[in-house]
Amino acid sequence: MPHGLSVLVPVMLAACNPPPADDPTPPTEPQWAEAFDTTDAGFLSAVWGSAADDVFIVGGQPDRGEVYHFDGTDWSPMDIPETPILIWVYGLGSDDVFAVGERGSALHYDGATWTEMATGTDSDLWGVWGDASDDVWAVGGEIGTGPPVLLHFDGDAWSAVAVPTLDRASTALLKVWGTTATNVFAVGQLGVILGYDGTNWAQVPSGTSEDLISLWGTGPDHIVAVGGRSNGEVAVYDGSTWTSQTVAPIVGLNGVFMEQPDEALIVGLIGTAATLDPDSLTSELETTGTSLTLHAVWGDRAGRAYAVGGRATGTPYQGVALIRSTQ
Amino acid sequence: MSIRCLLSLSLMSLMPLSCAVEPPDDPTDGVADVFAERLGDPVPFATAEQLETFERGKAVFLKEFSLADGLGPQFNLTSCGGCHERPVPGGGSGRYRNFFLIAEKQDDGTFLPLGASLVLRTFAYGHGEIAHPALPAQTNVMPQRNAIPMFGVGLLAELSDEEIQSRADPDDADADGISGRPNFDQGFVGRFGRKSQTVSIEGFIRGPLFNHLGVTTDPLSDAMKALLPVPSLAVPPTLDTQRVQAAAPAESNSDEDAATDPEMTEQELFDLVSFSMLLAPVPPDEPTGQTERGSATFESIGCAGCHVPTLVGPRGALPVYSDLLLHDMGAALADGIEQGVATGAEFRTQPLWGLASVGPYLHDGRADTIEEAILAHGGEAEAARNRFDQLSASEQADVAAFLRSLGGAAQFSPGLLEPGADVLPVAEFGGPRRVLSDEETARFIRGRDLYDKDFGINAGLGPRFNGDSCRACHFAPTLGGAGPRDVNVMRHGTIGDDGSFTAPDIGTILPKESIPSVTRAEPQSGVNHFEHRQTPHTFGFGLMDEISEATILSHEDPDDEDGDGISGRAHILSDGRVGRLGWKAQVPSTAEFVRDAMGAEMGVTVEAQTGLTFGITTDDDAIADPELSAMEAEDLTFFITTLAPPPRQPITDAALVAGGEALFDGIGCAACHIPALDSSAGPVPLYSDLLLHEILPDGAPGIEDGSATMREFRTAPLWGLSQTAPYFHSGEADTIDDAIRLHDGEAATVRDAYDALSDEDRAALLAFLATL
Repeated sequence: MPHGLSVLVPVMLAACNPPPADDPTPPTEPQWAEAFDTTDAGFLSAVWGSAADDVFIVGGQPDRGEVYHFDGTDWSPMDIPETPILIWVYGLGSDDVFAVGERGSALHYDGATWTEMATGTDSDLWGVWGDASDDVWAVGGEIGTGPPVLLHFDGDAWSAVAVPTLDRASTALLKVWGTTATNVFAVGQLGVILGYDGTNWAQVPSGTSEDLISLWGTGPDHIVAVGGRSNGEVAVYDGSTWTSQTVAPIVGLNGVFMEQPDEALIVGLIGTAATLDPDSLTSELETTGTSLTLHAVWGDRAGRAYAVGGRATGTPYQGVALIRSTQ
Repeated sequence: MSIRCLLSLSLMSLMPLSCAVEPPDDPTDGVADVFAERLGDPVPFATAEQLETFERGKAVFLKEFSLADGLGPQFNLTSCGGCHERPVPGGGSGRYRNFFLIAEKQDDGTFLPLGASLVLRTFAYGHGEIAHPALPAQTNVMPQRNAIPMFGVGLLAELSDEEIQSRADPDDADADGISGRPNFDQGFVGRFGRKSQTVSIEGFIRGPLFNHLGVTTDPLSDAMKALLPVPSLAVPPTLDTQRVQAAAPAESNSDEDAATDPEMTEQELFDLVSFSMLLAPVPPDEPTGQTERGSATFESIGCAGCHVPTLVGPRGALPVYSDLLLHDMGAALADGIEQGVATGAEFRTQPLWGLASVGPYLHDGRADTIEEAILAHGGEAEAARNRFDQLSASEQADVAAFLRSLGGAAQFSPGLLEPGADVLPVAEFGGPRRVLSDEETARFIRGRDLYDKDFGINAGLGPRFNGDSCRACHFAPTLGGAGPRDVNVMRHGTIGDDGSFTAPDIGTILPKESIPSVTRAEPQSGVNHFEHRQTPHTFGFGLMDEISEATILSHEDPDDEDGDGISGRAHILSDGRVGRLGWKAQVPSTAEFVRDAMGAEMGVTVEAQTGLTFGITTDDDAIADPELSAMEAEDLTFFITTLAPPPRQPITDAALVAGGEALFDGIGCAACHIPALDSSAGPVPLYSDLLLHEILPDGAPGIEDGSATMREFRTAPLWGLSQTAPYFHSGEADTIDDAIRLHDGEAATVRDAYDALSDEDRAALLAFLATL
């Protein structure tokens, strides 16, 4: 059943000051600006797109998920079934998008309509990623009480997959990402990293006990996971080993996106955004203009990136959606 | 523009200070006017409104959290003041409040915190919790922590990141052997905690509230943050406002007990944070020839390389004697705990202001004295330590005198009593039970001061112990009183499949503490039962000593020959004496009680004395036995036996109380809680027969003690009841009503009769009990 946001559908959200692509004097430094007016938006948890003109942002209030879509010109709220706040979004194409959220909620978008999916769990789902329409993984767990949750979608239904025995009392897996169906990683609370080889999930050494909150990469030997609740923590995978390091004074990190193996765009607490060289762990901080938490980042591979977040304490939640332009 | 500036400051920490409050033109021109006359008082610049907040916050600081308030389910402490009490609320604590951090260092180098954000919790109540939370099996890092005093923390919070970073020399570029570096917390330079791991006072309060008390909180709202004495918003309204406290955790916390989360209101949290921010340091003493010599030596031998005399904040120069940076302190001090960027060997340079009154010293309280603390320095401080070691005795004394002059010496106490404290009035809580002669008064004071004194490691404390003084457990409402749940004694043992009880090799008491050089006692294999023992008060013990054994025996009815369902029996000890003190009447006299407690609770050995059999006369610490002389034990005994019995409380509604007293007798409470026992000093109104009764349900597990069975307990004396919560042998009752409802076994009939009373009658009965 569509929720109350449906009445807003006809109202397009004005995009806020993205520098025009044909600006005669392009800035030399990346510029951040509001992507759209988020005054009425809840906490915005994640962003993903199939193309520069097909971008999805998910989030919401505690008891109400929200999805916003960018068509290349305007942002607009989408009709979605009634659902708790959505936490992550990932797609395999413009007509095959998955979103997951609190209390085991999951939605699928077929290019026209969002529909609710039964996941068989009441635990919060923190991440979703797939290699194909019939090979999608979701992870989650109740932080603090657990247990961690690992789900697989075979194109027909979600089913629970046993989480391997862990060497620590981690209560949640927070994100999942891979390069192929046989090279998938899940990261989570207390620095847990699980690897999947197409047959089995197994814990792999991470070198850290800091929460790892998100990961992305450009290939099987260039993957970066980020996290840390106070100071930033970065774990880098070189194809065989994960190496972790605190990157203080950079703050705790929530989101990472990579287009090139030598540069990760990272976001985190107190409006932090930076580019990071995964090899040297040197970073360049960028001024985002917000002190709100940034929770996720994604680039459209056309020179723009989006970072989303907000404030998820007190009610109502408050959202922020930023666009980063480099040309 | 302000946000841009903010982010530049907070995240690019090595950039020059361009936006923060400018320090005074000449920061070395005098010390900032930030001192109070006495530790525990607020800063002099507090506004009238802040002073009101300070008092409210102090009340929250001292509040004893009950189970209904949200204490637990696992906890170490029942109040903030429990750990921060020396010499006054806001200070440090004796070793009896030491706690353990636990972690696993894995083979690949991963440092895995265990416990509640590293903190091992000692006690638990209810909700399926084992009374003594188990140590995780994988624990291989387990250092102790001694509480840090909080005086002046608001001033440290105001320091700019750059002021701290200006002294960093991570690669020892100046080749002086000292290579301090900052720790970080959400991008800000850390300054609080043994490893400078925290920058936010709100965070440093919410963390311990949850980790040590199990009290849940929500973060302060931005509106409340904006009202704190130290600016604490992430986004300052103007560039003139510092933002150094912005890194408070944004997450709420929750737990599994019955109290609704959050278990502290936002106003209470605000007041508590404000109280902490407003606690003032005290100024250094006026220099003397000795302290000036000591100061010069302190400088010349290199102590000031890390313990830099002043840091400059927005109010001027602060004589902190710390750079607030991390330094490698060497293998002997290394605790293996990694926090932020701090390694297991790195510690923050401990501020020295107020040093004189806040021992013991070092992160785990291993040093009794300042001199010992200096000599324990290693790593980057080894050269300075060695130079101190090579000083003459008088030069070392000069340095120690200088350090003791850095504030607080006037409030130094060997325990918690103020220096020269008066004897409390006759017949009041903590006062003598009769007028004393001058000689008796002197002896009473000697015993009292011994009761209050913290026993140091050099005085024989440990090696394992529960308290480091008598007062550590017996202090509520005053010296000699009861103790809150956080000083409970843990009894333990093994209950076999056949229901039999086996005491562990170390006895049924499981000490919660150990001196830092010794590992904590863990339950031996097979132990499967743990029970709390609440600390009862010692008021009136002298009168109880004067009750004859025959009087106690006269109330026995072991076979319930009178058919009233109550079958009390005396606890006859193995040597034939009648026990009367302790939850199981396992101790026959105050003199034996003193000897027993010194050994079992403090690890202090006593001198062999004819006719006295309790206590330990030898132990395996490095201190020569006996560690307490016979004369000292006798002074202690004199003090306790001279303490007045609990005074009756004022009666505001005589009819109500009289009605309650009649019900007390009418429903059968008085069958065991006999109002008075005769003695050589006249009737002793203790409301107990001092006999053992089965008060646990059939089949309930328990701890055997002497001839007392698992379900048997001595009838608890009720005098002083209203002032000595919590209740019951386990301390699991918040209220007298709760305690009555926990009675079972022989008392089940009376409990049911109580339950069947009307609300009005129950209120009358409770009103009567509150007057005892």
